[in-house]
Amino acid sequence: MAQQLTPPQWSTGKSPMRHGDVPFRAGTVALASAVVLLVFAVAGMLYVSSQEARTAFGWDLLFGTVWNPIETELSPMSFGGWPAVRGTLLSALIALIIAAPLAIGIGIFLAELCPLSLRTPLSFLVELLAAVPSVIYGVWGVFVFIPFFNSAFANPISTTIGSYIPWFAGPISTGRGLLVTGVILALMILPTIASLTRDVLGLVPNTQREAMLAIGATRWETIWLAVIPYSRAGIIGAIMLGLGRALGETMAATMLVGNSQRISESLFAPATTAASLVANELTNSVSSLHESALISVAFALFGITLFLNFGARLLIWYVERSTRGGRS
Amino acid sequence: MDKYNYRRRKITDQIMRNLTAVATGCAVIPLIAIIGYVLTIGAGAMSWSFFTDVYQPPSNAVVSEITGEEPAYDPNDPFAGIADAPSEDPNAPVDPADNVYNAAPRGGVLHGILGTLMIAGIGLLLALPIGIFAGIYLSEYRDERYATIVRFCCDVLSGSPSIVAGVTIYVLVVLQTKQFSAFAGSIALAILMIPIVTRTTEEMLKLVPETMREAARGLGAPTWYSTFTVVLPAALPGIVTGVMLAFARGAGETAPLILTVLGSNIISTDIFKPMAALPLLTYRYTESPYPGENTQAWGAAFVLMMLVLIMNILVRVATRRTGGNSR
Amino acid sequence: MTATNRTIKAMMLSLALVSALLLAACGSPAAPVAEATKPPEVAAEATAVPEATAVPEATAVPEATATTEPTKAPEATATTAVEATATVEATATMAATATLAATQAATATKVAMTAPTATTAPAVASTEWAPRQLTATLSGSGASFPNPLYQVWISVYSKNVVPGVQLSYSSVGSGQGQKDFIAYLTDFGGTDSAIKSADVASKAPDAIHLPMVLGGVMPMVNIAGIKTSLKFTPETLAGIYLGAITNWTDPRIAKDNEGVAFPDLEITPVYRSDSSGTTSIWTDYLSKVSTDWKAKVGAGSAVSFPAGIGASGNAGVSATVLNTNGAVGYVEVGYALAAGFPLPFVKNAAGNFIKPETANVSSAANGLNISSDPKKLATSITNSAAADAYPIAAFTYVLVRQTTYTDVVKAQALSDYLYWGLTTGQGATVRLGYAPLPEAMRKASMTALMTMRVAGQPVLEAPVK
Repeated sequence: MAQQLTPPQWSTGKSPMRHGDVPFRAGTVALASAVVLLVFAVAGMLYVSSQEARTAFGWDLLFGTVWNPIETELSPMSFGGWPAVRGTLLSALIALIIAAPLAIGIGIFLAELCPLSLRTPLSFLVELLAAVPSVIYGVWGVFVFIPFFNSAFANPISTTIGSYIPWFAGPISTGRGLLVTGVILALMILPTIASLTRDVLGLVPNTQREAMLAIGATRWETIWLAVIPYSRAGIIGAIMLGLGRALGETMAATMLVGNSQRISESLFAPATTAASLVANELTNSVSSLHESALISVAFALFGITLFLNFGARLLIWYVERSTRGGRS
Repeated sequence: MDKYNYRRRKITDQIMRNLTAVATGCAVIPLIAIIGYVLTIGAGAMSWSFFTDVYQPPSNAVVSEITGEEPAYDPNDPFAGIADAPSEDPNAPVDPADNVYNAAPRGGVLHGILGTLMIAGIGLLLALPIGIFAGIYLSEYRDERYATIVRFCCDVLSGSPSIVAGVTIYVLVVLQTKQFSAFAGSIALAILMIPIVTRTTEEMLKLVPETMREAARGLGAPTWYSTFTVVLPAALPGIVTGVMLAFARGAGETAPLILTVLGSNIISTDIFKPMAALPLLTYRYTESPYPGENTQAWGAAFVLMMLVLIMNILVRVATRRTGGNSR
Repeated sequence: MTATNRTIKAMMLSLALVSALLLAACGSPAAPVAEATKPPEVAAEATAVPEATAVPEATAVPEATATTEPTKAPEATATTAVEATATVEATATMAATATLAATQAATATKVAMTAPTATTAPAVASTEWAPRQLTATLSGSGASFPNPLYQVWISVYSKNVVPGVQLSYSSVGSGQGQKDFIAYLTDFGGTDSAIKSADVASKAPDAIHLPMVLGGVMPMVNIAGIKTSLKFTPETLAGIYLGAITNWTDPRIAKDNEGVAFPDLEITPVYRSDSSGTTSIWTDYLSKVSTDWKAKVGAGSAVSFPAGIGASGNAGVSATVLNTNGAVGYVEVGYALAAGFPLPFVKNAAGNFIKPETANVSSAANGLNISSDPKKLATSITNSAAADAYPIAAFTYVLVRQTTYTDVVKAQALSDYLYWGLTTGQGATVRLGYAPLPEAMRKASMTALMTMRVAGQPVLEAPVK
């Protein structure tokens, strides 16, 4: 059969379709560059708009203790962000202390120990926890969790231990404060850390487990001595990502922290966080300096999360590379 | 050597394994508590008018027992439909239950529902082209050095706090155009959606077996043609999943909206004007000192929660089916 | 595979549905906008009162005031007349209102401002003032204290009075209300405190503060077993919040409350931890009555309280007081009533113990020396000298621009709404627990509203009554 097959249109070198690749690549690069541009726009805007306050106050913007945007006869205008920075760090720390062990436990359970039939629904539930909008955590925290927390923890603790340890000192006002915020933040970052931990553990080659089991280790010893060390960097990366989310969380913190610029030793007293400070005050900033100071706080927040993300990705990438190496 | 005592090892094993199960319970219980509270209390705020009506100010005026309607508007007494005139006697005992602010909530959140769909919808439309094409670039030209930069920028965007997106748009759009607008909110949400769309597109395209691309190439198809006709359709379910998750995330965001859309109590269709949004209503009603509005907060949270839950469950169902296929 | 396809199709469909909805929604606003321009043009021409007729009439002003004396037309307020005769700034409106007053005095009929045209003098009509049926969208933001009242006004006004006007007021706090207004983000602002005078000069030189209604702030108390109204003096209130009076058995409190058996209980003052107009009224009062307070703490929307515990929001303060035996907090009166707290007595400047009932709160603005400058209506009225005045009271203002509105329709619709609020709208105040403006202030507010100009033309001319 000497039937002449007509070649597809594109395979003839002269077809215009062949040239489609150049604009195609240009188009995808252009739109991908939009993502890069966006990052530069955000960073550039934050840098430029915060200039005024940064030149005026310098590091006091983060470490000064008095935040007073309204000048009165008694107190000069001053933008010391330490109450907010302290609140952010403390609430994120509390969240991390609660969430990290729990989340790693969940990750281990889901990746290693969970019966197969439960694995999918449980993973789904945990991921759902991540999908709940933060404002709903706020509503739940304000109307349900705080009253419960006050009667079950805050009041008894502040009247007993509180008299010796200033961290837990009373009196309890509305119960809004750093501890409550930290607990709710813990709930919010739990799924982030847990699902990443599960993924990282899933990357550990089975040979590692088998070797451990073969020399007579129990399941837990296998996990503790072989699986976790193998994926340590990845788990730390997951925790860092969780920390990033806790530091930047805005709504739940705004609704639960009490929004007071006063530094109080007690974790039950109203405080503030950097994100909620910006959310509360940017729209009613009274002067351009005030606005600029708030943008500086946002800039610092952006910088910290950028740094944390960078570190976390680096660690996760490191794990992925080393596991690939292990397989080959 | 006590450390290697068999019984002790066995017990440790049991304890630790159970502890991880307990930890999982600790995560699942609050989730169930949150969903349960929102659904039960929120359902209490539900009524037909909650979905069909907009904000209504507080009122304790007596509604007609026969028709259930509020008093008709009377030009000579325009506020008869709102509140009873106070007692003439200032010393008469005042029952807080009679106070207008303790009256049952009226009205609904239709303006918020429409606003959220519109703001998040437009945000998605803005995010889709950038997200999908950036995803295609990251997947199809994955080895280029520039792709690493794009990927990192994407991570930075997804990791940066939502308030930062709000601040950016507030300074660059709201203060420049001198107008709070739904569109500014959409742009802010788009910033949050882009990394989600990009990363899912990239991941899904990477899952498409290399053999399919090779087959297309073997037939002489150029990259763009094979991408659009072979690779993208194969990855479409996964991409749709990502898009829906991005929509759900955007619809639930509050912080950027505080700085960009301001809020409104009426149905506004002009995207260059302030607009209402469900998360914003939830926030404002929660902070309100009046119990009626607090009830509305639960109602708004309920609607928001349903939106997000339905999206996620749909996504779950879809991925499970496609997951079976791609294997 | 088919199942998958079906799911995808369903999802695409729902997506398409959403986007269709969006497009439909985005497409529609064109219509109202187009309509919007129609009626106002006519109105704009109609309201264009020529200076030529107004200026000569101004000379008749002294006579007008002379004849206006007792009952017939108190509209021609002294301030207006003085301003007009001084002729330093005898602007067109001043003259116009004076003209109006003269006509009214002569005919004792109500004048409708829809009638005057460019060529004729203000015609005398027998109809009442009625808001123009305009189509406009107005947005405002600001103080949360008057929010329920404004929402009631908006609801009635845009449902039953002028259906074409779409009004929206967001309760975001006085601070943002001021900022949004100064930055031209909103058409009008709401605020409990006046914009700082330095900011007015530099950023909002044409801002007018229109007093709309009055509010009182009161101490609320929770002492187990005591449900009666307690009596407070300025000294005890300042003492409690300074941390100088720490127990309810303190003789300074007992002295004013004979017959009340106070338990031996520590006083816990509760303050607002967030920035708030309520705090600024409270601290403004304490600064006026206590030199100690002024020297140590000062006044402001967020000050550093020397004693007590913080709570955010009215609801937070109220909840904290309810949960703490021996606590005292300060909240807006309407809110305390809704929460079921008894009204206390506070000793005013005249030495009388007064409850914060609406009439007494209104009295706080009595005897006020009202400025004749429409831009200077904002004043502090705490610790009022009036005998029956409740001392912790304040105006809440709506901010409007005097000359920088560019859209005539918007300006007209806004001024109509505010005029309606200052007249008919005042009827809603007492029902909702707000104190109505006293007559003199209400009229000053209306007069100030009528100084609004777009391109040199007044946007509202209506009787000041």
